[in-house]
Amino acid sequence: MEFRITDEDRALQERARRLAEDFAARAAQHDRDATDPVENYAALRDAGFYGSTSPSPRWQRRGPARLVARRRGARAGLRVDALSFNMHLSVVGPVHGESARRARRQGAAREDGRAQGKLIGGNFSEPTTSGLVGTAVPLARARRVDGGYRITGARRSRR
Amino acid sequence: MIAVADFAMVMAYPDDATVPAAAMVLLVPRDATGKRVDKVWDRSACAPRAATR
Repeated sequence: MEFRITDEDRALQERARRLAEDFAARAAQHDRDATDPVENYAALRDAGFYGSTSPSPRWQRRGPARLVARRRGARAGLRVDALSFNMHLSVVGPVHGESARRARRQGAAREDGRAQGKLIGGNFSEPTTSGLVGTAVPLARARRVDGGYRITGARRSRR
Repeated sequence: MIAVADFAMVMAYPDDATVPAAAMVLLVPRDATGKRVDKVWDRSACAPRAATR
């Protein structure tokens, strides 16, 4: 693992700071109106942040430094959206990793790319608990049907 | 965020599971039939909305 901040990481910080200034201009209004900052998510996607926690070989080596760089950038003003956007960042790795493993198992030439470039709302909280440490038995049920699964149940999410 | 995300990640217990600790993670598209988001949290007050109590 590397913890050294490189020029590329500093550029990442700078991009985060610039976004943060823009986000801060609308933060109070979003909070007051309880609206989702969809334009901020789009800006994060356009700036290349959606895949920033993808478990590529390079990410595994540079991961800690990139995380520090991103968090330092976020500290400059991304706070408003940092929590909700982390719902995406925290699950990109597992989604990407599982997609790659499945492709290898099936001998596919490439991974399923349906989630690529998409915003994912990761949520493991149960209606009555945070589920942070891991929920023994999820309350939601998944029943296999033609073409997929039918899910029955409720989840709780912050923002 | 969960209302505008392209996919909501949901952990569920498979109906045909044979062990109690089974779980699966699914990505539910934003426009999936039957999916609904109820906003019950007041961000400014950091408390449940009065109407939902």
